[in-house]
Amino acid sequence: MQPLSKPRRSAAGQGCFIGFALLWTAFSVFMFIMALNDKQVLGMVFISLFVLIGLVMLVAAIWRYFSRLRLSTPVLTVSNKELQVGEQFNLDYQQAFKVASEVTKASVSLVFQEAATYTQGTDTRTDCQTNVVETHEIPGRRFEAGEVMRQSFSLAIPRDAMHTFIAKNNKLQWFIRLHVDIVDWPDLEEDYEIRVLAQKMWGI
Amino acid sequence: MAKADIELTLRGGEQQGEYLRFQPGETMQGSVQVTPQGDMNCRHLFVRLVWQTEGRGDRDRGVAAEMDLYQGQLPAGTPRMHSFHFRLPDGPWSYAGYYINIIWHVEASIDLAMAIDPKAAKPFILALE
Repeated sequence: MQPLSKPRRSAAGQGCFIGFALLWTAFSVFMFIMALNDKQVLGMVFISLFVLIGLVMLVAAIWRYFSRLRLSTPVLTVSNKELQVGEQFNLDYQQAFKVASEVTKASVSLVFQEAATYTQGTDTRTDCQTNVVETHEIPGRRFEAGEVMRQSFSLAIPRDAMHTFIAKNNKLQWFIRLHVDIVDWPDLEEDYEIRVLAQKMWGI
Repeated sequence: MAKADIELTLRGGEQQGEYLRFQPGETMQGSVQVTPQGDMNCRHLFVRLVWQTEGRGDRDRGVAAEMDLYQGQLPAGTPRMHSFHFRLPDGPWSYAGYYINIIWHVEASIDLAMAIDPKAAKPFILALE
């Protein structure tokens, strides 16, 4: 079995997002105070929009970070990291709980995603189309601190599927999507990339 | 402006709708017939195997193979035929999705000095059965 590499939105990425949100909010608040001292009402209204955006980003970033506090890093291993179209593979999932938690449900999905990046004026945007190919659910229950949630699954890349394709602006990617829903706590959702080669399983 | 009629013909593969479908790794054979409308000094007659994306995203393009078929004078009104063959790559496969399409074509272009290069393209499908 081979471990899957880091999730698409890693802890480091989340840290960067929190840092960016903090900087944005701090600078916006500073500008707001300057406008307040100068008694510029229009300026205050305008800058308050930026403060609001910063606060929303901060709450979103912290909310995502919190989802990690109750759970250890998930360990996902697959029988083969470089798959062929039509190939069946096994996935093992295990994750320990740092504190006792009530899991509503957990699921592991095989996901195919198109991501198209384009420029619009001076902005660069990416539109994604996600297709969930199959989902396996792990029934929810209470997990005590130190207890490990583990499950094995058998998944398959469909016979008529497309292989992984990565170009500068257009990407076709396969992911294992892990979703853990904990009562009264932010959900954990992470995507782990798997590579599907431009080869078809022989004999299908 | 320099003009030429360029006709690309592909051989092999299997007919799928209006296009020929080839398998990855298969050898594609074809020919290009060039009929200049005026005398031309052809620096190169290139034939390329090209994939490109179409759809929502900005275009990505890759040249999988290129052949230089001819260099020299092309007299007006005289058709000239050249054959070529390519071993097709493993991928990317032709794809039609929601935001992204991957299109393959054979492209022929006459490289001229100080003029727009006349070009022609013939699409095909690269996919496994």
